[in-house]
Amino acid sequence: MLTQTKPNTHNNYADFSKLFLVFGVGVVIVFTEIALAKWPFFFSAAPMLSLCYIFTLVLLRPQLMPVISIVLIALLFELMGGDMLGVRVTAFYIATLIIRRRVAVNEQADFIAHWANFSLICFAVVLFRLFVFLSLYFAITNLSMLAFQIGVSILVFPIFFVTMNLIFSILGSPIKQDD
Amino acid sequence: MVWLRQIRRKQPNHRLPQIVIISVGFLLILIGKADVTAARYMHGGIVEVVAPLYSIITVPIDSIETLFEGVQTVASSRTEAKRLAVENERLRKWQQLAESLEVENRQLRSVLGAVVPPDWSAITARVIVVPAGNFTHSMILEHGPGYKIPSGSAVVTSEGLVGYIISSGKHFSRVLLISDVNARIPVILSDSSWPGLAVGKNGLTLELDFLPAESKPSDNEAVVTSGHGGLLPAGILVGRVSSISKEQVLVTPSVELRKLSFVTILTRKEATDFMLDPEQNNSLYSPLIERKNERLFEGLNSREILQ
Repeated sequence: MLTQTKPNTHNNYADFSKLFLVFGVGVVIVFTEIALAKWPFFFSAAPMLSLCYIFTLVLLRPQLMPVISIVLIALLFELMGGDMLGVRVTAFYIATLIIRRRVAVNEQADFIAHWANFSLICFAVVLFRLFVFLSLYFAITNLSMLAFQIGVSILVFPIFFVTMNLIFSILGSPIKQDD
Repeated sequence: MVWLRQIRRKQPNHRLPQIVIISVGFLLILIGKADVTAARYMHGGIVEVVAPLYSIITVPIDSIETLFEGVQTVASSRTEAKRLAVENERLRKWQQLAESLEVENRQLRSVLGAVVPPDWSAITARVIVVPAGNFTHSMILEHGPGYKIPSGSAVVTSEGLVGYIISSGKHFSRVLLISDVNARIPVILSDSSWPGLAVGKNGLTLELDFLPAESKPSDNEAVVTSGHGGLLPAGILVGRVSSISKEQVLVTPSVELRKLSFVTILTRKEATDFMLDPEQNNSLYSPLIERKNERLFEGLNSREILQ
């Protein structure tokens, strides 16, 4: 007797322990980002490690980075780092949507293409925050520091991307994604 | 184009939650801007919980910084020793001058019968979070339990003003730096006593606003707090005039905000504490010591005249 089986969708979802682990690493990265600002070199312009992390994860293992993790990681930075409440959350969420829709779908893209995409995303995120800041305070912040922050984040990205790739290849084969 | 069609097909299912999340984000922005009390309490509570965890995680990063500083110190020790010798000599001269001025000041106050204002208490705190982004310049301080720190308390170092407290909890407080775009410090120019407002620019300099047109600030002139508004004590060094143009006067903060480890929080002492225990408190601004039979000037003592 033939029974109708449900399509196997389990491969698209990581179990809770993996999600929690990825979120935990995200929290550590947020703290590292905040702590880096204690170095006078990165004062008020620490590289956006959390954005690197989210971008890499959404690109390589989207099922490990649910919306709630992204929102909580961004919110934690806002609360601890003293950033404007809600701005980073919104910017990161919109950035994630763009990555999922425009960047992650192109499987043929090489590393340089990802790097260029990250640069654009990074620039867009800072531009969005700048726009909100401008609307709320009618003032412009120090642009040279913002440019420095974008530049450092873009420079840090390859290290992050290669490290994450390496970790995933060590930990096991990639989780298969169904179309 | 296959992927485009797939996306278009999936869109209706995903749009609503996306709009909701983005709306929540903008709602948070509005709440943050409106400075709702509940949000502030929630913020303070979360900091109280998360900050100890953060302190543990950042130990290795702090160690790396210390290592770099150590290497730098060794590399520049010879130059540093020369510089310190010169600075030491200069400071000795200043110390002598300060001592003579202190005596003179005390004598003049006694002569005039000036009333000493209520004193301030000093609390030492450790800086644990410094600004990582350039949109908000604020720090989190760890001061330990048992202190009731009101909002608006001044935060200083031996070099000058750092900022003021904007929210405080049991163990941690958040300080708004003078460099923040929202910081407004009432100041006066030390030489001419013209009042103004030091406004942060989210950078490494401040701008002097509302300076009267007649005022002529000079280069390197000290800018100190005026005490207007009663929030900050008067006479704390804020910075020095570093650039003068027709459009703006810029001030470089006297405190190197990028290299802060420990700071002092100044809180207004309760009237009862001040009256009960005026001499045992280790405050920065202690009341004048009244000495009996003090001769203010040679051959003249106002107290004797009054008697």
